[in-house]
Amino acid sequence: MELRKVCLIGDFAVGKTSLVRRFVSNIFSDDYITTVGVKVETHLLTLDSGEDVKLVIWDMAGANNLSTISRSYLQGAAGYLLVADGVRPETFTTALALKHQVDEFLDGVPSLGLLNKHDLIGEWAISEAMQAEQTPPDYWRKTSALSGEGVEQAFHDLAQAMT
Amino acid sequence: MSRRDQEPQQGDDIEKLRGILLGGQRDVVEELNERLSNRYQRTQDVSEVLADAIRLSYQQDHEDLTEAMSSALSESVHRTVKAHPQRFAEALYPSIMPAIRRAIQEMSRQFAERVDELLTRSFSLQHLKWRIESWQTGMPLSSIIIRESIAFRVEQLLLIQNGSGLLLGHAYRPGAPKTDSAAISGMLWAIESFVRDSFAEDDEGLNRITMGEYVIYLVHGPAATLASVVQGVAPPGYFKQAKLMLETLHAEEHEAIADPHVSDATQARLTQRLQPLLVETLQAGAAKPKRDYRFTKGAAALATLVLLGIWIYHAQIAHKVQLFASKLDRQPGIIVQGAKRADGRWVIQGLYDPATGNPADQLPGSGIDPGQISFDFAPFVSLDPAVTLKRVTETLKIPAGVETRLSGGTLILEGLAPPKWYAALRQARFLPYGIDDIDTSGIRLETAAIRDYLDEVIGIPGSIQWLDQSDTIEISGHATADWVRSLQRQIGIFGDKIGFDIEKLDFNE
Repeated sequence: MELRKVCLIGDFAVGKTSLVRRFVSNIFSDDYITTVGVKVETHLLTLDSGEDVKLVIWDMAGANNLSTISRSYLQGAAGYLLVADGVRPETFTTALALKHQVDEFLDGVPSLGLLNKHDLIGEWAISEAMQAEQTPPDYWRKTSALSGEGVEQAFHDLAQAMT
Repeated sequence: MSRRDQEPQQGDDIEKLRGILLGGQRDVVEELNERLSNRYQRTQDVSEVLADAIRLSYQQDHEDLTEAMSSALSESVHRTVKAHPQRFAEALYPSIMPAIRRAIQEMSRQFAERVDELLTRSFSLQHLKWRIESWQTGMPLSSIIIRESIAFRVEQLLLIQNGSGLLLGHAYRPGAPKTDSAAISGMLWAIESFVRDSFAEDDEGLNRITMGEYVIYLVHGPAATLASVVQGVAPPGYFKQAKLMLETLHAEEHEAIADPHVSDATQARLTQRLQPLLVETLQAGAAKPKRDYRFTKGAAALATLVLLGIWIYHAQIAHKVQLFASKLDRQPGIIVQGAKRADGRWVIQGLYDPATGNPADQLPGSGIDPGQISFDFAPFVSLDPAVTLKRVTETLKIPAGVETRLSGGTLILEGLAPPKWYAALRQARFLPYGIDDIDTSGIRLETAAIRDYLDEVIGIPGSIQWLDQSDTIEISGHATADWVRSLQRQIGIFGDKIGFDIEKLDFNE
């Protein structure tokens, strides 16, 4: 079983920690506790080939640009999840800027964009056109840490892309 | 034409023939010949291509070139160092000094840590336990302290890939609680990165993390970091082992350590390689003989309680003795010189004026068992006024109706006194110690009592008439001359107090 390092990056309060908790422990809490620095967790995942991989998930503190410390945390990542809040367009803009910086730093590693909080569909603010503007088709996935929608699949798809 | 004449001509011909055959290339050949035979020129030519030739050779077969040059380079470096040590020292200084500084800092830190540990334990229950063990086993206390101070146990070893923080290997002692070692590895590296980026980017990073009784020691290599989770204080020898282990892994497993894809096989192999470090450490820790300490601990606890009880009991007695000695010392006529333990009991030493009574007589009520104390007091005469008065009262047998007081060295007596006592006082030949004179002007005598006294001492014949007046006694009648002389001696004693009228006394020889 191989170890693969996966990082979650994105603006503050977009739901990175909630996504990790949903994926790792299958729980959700309304309490918001900001992540200081980084929190590392692991989760076992089976690929389509039947091979098991252990994802070492680095849930990084919310940031709107890539600091020196963030770069240190990104080192050695086999892939990353870019998270934005679907009801806050500014976090989507931040995510795009972060993607640009991270892709430069982690040359060629796969990534997926997660538009989180899809359970708040009535307040949704990210259009399909916005999504298609600067990223490849099917790059952005709609997820909800609250309901679990798309979470497992997103981690799975990223793991597949990392093989 | 002779043969000798023909030879120059043949040489010229050959030269002509060469000219025809080689043409313009003849100059080139001559130039090449010149270059090859000219040592300076040859050196020039080689110097122009030497660097490229070495580079090319290294690319093609670096082992071969390294092998070929190693002896010469080694010798060359050796000679150069001997010839120009200062230049080498200056060149190495920037890289070697930080390493030396770190080594010294590490040694100082470990020494301070050990001293701190020993000092802390010196005033602890642990230290008391060591003392009891030393007493029980006969082993010197210093040996026990040294043995205990180096006792440590490596609980876990984590080999962490630098950069990614991925777990390369994880060895742990049997029975250790199961933990998410991959997450721990990641978090450790995250902390390491945070510290390095925040405080010491150029330094080698975090060396130690303390969590309660556990210490995580981090040894850094170029591609991986070895984290040792240790219980207790690791001795310097352990760090040497850990560094050696990391160096060996870097040398022999460099590709596996640097590979971003950490496979099961890699983890298993590297974990296996970490085991010796863990096992050796466990064996070092297990070298201490395992004993069933349950009984010993119980006995030690009981002995401690008994010792504590005895100590408290003796402390209480000592306190009582000190209080009693202080009380004696405060009294006039007693000087306490000290209280000490001798032959299993307390002895109070000092001086006392017998007028104050024996100090031992004051023991009842002090709470001290008479069997636990003895007195070593020598008599002396105190000039304290209270003691002097007491002594005088006893020596002179001052009667109850007579009051005493001192004025300087004079004893002043006042009150109604029995004639017999007054007569004895007047007849006394020595003054008690501590007084220079006795003032009896305040003493009063009753005439009736004087008559009784005289009757007792000299007998008053029936022929004598005795008439008491307020301050005079009139004696008349007939008596012998001897009796009258006896009477006159008595009058000499009481004459300052009572007047005697013996005008009407008739006597015959």
